[in-house]
Amino acid sequence: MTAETRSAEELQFITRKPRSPLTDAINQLLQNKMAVAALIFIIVEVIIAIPPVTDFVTPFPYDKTSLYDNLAPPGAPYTGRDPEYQGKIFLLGADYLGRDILSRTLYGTQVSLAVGFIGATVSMIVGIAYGLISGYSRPTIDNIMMRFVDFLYALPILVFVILMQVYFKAVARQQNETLEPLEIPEWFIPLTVALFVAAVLIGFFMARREDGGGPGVFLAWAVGAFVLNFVLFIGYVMSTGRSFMESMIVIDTAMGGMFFLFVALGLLNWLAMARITRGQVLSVKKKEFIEAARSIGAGDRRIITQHVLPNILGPAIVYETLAIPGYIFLEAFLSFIGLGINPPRPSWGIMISENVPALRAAPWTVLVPSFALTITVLAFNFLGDGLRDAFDPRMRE
Amino acid sequence: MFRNKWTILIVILLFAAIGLSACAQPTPEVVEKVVEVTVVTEKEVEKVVEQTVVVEVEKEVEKVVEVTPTPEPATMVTLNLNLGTEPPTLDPSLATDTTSIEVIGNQMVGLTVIDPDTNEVVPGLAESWDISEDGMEYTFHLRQDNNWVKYNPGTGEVEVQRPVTAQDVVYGVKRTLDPRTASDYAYVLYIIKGGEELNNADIGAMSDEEAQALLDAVGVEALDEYTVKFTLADPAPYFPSIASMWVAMPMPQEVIEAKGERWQEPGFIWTNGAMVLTKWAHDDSLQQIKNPYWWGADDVQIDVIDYVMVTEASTAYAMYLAGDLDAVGAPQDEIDSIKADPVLSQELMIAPSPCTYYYGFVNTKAPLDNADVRRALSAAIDRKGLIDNVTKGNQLPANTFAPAMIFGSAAGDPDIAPWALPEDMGGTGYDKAVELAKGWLQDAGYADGSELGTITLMHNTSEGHARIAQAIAAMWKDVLNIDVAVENQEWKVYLNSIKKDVPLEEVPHVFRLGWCADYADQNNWLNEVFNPEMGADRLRLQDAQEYIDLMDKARASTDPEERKALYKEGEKWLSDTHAAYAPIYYYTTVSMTKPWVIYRTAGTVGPPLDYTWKLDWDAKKAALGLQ
Amino acid sequence: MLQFIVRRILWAIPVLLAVTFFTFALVRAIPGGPFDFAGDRSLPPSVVANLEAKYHLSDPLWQQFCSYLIGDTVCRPGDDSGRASKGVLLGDLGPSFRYRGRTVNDIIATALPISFQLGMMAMMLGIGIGIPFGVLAALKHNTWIDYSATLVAILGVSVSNVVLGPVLIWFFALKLGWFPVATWAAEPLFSGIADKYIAASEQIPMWVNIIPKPTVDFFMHAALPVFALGTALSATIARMTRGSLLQVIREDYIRTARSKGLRERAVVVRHALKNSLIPVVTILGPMFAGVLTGTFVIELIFAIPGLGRHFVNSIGNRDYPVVLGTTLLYGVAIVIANMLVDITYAWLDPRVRLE
Repeated sequence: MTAETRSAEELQFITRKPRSPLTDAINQLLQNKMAVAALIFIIVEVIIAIPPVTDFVTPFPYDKTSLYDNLAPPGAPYTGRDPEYQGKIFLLGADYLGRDILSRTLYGTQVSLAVGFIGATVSMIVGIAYGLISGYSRPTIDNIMMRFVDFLYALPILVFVILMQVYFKAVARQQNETLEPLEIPEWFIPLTVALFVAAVLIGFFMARREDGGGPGVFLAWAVGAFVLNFVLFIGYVMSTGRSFMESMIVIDTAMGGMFFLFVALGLLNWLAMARITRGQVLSVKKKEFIEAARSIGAGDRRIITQHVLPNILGPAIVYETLAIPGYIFLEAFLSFIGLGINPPRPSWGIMISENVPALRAAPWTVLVPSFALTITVLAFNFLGDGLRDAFDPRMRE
Repeated sequence: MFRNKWTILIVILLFAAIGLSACAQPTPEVVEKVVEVTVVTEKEVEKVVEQTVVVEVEKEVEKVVEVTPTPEPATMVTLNLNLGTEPPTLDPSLATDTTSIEVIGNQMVGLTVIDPDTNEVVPGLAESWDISEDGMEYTFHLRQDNNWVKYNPGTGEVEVQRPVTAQDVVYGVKRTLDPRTASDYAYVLYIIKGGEELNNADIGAMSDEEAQALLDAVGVEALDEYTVKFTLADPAPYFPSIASMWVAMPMPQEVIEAKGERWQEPGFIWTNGAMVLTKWAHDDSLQQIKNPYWWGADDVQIDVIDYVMVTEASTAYAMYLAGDLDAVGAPQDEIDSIKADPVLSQELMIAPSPCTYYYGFVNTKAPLDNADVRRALSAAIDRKGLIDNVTKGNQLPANTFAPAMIFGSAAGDPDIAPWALPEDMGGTGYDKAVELAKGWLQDAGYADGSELGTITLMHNTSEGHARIAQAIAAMWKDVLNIDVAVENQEWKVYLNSIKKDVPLEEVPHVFRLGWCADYADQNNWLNEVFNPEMGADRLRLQDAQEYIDLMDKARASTDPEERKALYKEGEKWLSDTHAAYAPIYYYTTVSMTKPWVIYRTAGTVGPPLDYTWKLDWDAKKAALGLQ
Repeated sequence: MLQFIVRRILWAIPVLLAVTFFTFALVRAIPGGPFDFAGDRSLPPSVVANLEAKYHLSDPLWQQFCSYLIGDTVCRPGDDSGRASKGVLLGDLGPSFRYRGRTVNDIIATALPISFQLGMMAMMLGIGIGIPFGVLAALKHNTWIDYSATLVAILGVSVSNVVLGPVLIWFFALKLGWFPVATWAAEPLFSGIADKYIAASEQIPMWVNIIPKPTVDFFMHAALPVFALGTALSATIARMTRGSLLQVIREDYIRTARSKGLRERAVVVRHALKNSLIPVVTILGPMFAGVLTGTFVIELIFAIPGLGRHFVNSIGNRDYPVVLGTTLLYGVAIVIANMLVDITYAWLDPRVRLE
């Protein structure tokens, strides 16, 4: 492409009838084949991760051990005694306890996808908010906030995690015998879903309005709905007469040990995001167009949502999509040291780390979950790239 | 700002320059030079040996004659082994772990030695010993030809310091017991009269005279230069085993006092054993060379032991395959493929090891407060299936606590817990055991395992333990329909959550532990581990008076047959009638050894004494292409 | 500039103090002490008491913290038992509880140079591969080059080092025999100085160990671990560079530069790349600090005697001084790295002022 043709296209773009930024973004996204393929793949994965669907598509339960089939190669038949599974084969082999690798990988989707989503979301929300405030504030406040980040960086994470493990799990074990399991009332799930949908719709329509602030507003509403739902949930649990700590434990038990895991993930991972955001803000806030916007009387909110946020979102999405394997491995590590899901529930990270000793003897036990992890991350990256291109008006060609 | 940029640039350039110049430079052939130097040393060494031999006792000379003279090797006979981790200390008073003890066992020799083949006590520094009638006094007669030596890093030579005397033994024992030394294993020596009192004393608050009086009251004295007498607090038939332990070794007072805590560094440390410490690169490698002045030096073929400290099992195994190591532990998941490989299977060696893997039950926690429930759980463990399919190291199914090589063990005796043994070992086999287990569960009033509620099974964080725990949890679920929650905790947290004083609602129902012998006697097993009056009593034994009486009687008895019978009764009480814990398997060491290793030790109760290994040096040189 | 650095160093003091204090408190809050068990044997209370007395663990916590910070002479006057600590402020990090006879200073002086060498080479590899490939992918946006660069980068981040390490060993060291399996082979460049310390059985000071002698052996041993570590770093760097460059490339002044007829590559290199590096540099800071002070997994798999293991093992051993010493060291590294990042911001984008 030469410079001339491109500037011609750009000229065309500029003279085009202005449309809603969101519609543009969606159109743009749908034209990106890789992003669409990635989106479809992720949707399929999410569907597989819905518990009844997982039960349906997997040949074995994740905890069905068959000792004499340990490290069975792909295609080997089940040789255990259980009549229910006679004649089935281990399509992708079995692990060291004779558990079907394919089934465990599919079940692993449940935990690993949730960890990837929630790890990335929490870290993005907290990190971007913190970084925005820090970068946008007076130098003194910025300095204090960033020194706090330095401080958190330096604290030994392992000590933190062991402490959380000790206190959460010990208290949980102590109280588990006395606590009633949590029963979520029927009306609660529809209510939260409705709230979420409403917030997303409001965000969508506000974003469509030409003066509404674009994708930033949409994102803000979606995030707001997410947080609100979370608060509602905790509020509901506490309203059943449990103390805060008891509520946490009940929630954790209801989520199969994953709640404390998410807390740990969220607490540990927003630091880099905050530093990236703040770096971008420092660079963007002195740029000409910001000065110009300010000179025509735009408020801080508008400047942030319309000018600063789009500039941050690019690196933020790239960084977070890349960080997903990190979250998945961190989950495996946390589960390994006892803060996380309890065995025999699988996740990809757990499967990789527990099977690594068999890497040479039975490579399929490691390769299958590694492959699942890699293509999922790849899909997130292509989708992330697509979204980023779509939301950045300057990227449209 | 620019200055900073430039410094970064310069650093980067520097590294790049280093990288470039490296490609141009050939490696200097240092190895050969070193070899020459060391050969020279050895010649000198031999001369000196002749001189000292003259002074030595005649008995020794006879021994020398038996040994085939080694032809002058082209290079030093080198043994390459993996220690696994950094030894935390080489100070015999302070050592607690197997790595430190392996290294110390090569370079120091105590009054007695545990023979690596038979696991029996044989003379070491002491040529012989007498026991008084009442079994309370042990008099050891020391060799007169054992010298302190040290390595001089400046010249690269081993230098003789002075003979090891009875006073060094007295100093070593008292140093271990002195509370100012703060030795973890001091309690092993509490059997010596006055030992416990000294170790418990608050010496900081005492006057020097009082402290000296306590030190003098310890029952160890030098009768003359080469005779040392121990007076015990209680009769202990196993005392010669204790005398082999590192905490009772002779120690060189002058070096320890001169160098303080750094006395254990190569160049400072004085040792009296077969090998001399020459290099200790922390976390990386450690080297010992042969002590030419040692009284048994002619029996020692190995000139140099080069240890690496590789923690990761698969890496160590790869180094073995590449020829960097002469022996290595076989990684669990490789065992199947090793057994299937015609070459590698020849190199695989599985030897019993004096350790037992077991699951402890908290005997007071419902529903495990019922012996029938506990026995049902224990019987529902398919030990053979677990060994064949999960641990894979040809471990032996355990029906008792102490393995066969321990004095007084009843391992494999079908009188005790026959349901734990497969049919070919005289037991009932697993299918029968399952029926028995279901029956016991019904006797205890549970028609189905799910009525027990969720049983918490806890282990410390480790991949190997996690596998076993998941396998056993699945067995309990499959066979008895018991719901099991498997949890794990970091090691020290774990040890604190299974302590006796943890409230019942917090403690798990079942926990895993293992035990390895300090010395080869049941006292170290049944008594020190499970006797509620001796050990940690993590099992929280119920109605244990009968057991305590058995243990006390066995400990005091001097008749070996009677002791054996008493310990068998104890095993029966613990493993079968009360099923206070579930023995799972007796450990094995599963290792790979290169074909040029002619003799090796494995699975020893005491230190493995690596210097006793024998190599076919020519074969090793040929295989590795050494000159 | 100088004023900025001085101010940041002053700011680092409260940060590091807070790190020390919180780590001190946290590590003592986890159950289990350094001496309550030997292996899995619980030690008799008298033995534990002796050990705790020796290391002053039975003193009140404030006194322990005080003497850790400013030394025994101030906080424990008149106590002459054992070795007197000079305190962290004078650079004495105390004795190790686990490796008896060694001090934390000894441990760091031995292990840090090795981690530093490994980390430095891996960072050079990571930046050397990452930035060019990131630029290439951005220039060829949404072409097969871009997609395959993304694919390789994703492989780089999602194949865990736990898997990659053994695979590299198996293939390059065992199958092909090109490289040694594991361990590190650094000799100090100034080996004459080191030999003097060895002859005297003294601890070799850190500065002697830090620059390796560039032997073939050294680089052969370093090749696999540096590759394993460097690829993971380069993947992140490449993706960040690509994303950020794509964003900058569209901005007005780049269009201006281009319309002035400069060749595209010159445009990119002169204007866009420099401006796009802000997010990249941001992640490079903590990356540097983390990699130079030791990477646990790589050092474990390749049996490299670096500092990474001490960060992890010391916590398992409840070796309080080593936990504190390593944490403090990492804290210093983070503070310096983030300061350099902020300085680099001002250089990359002159509108960002150092305040």
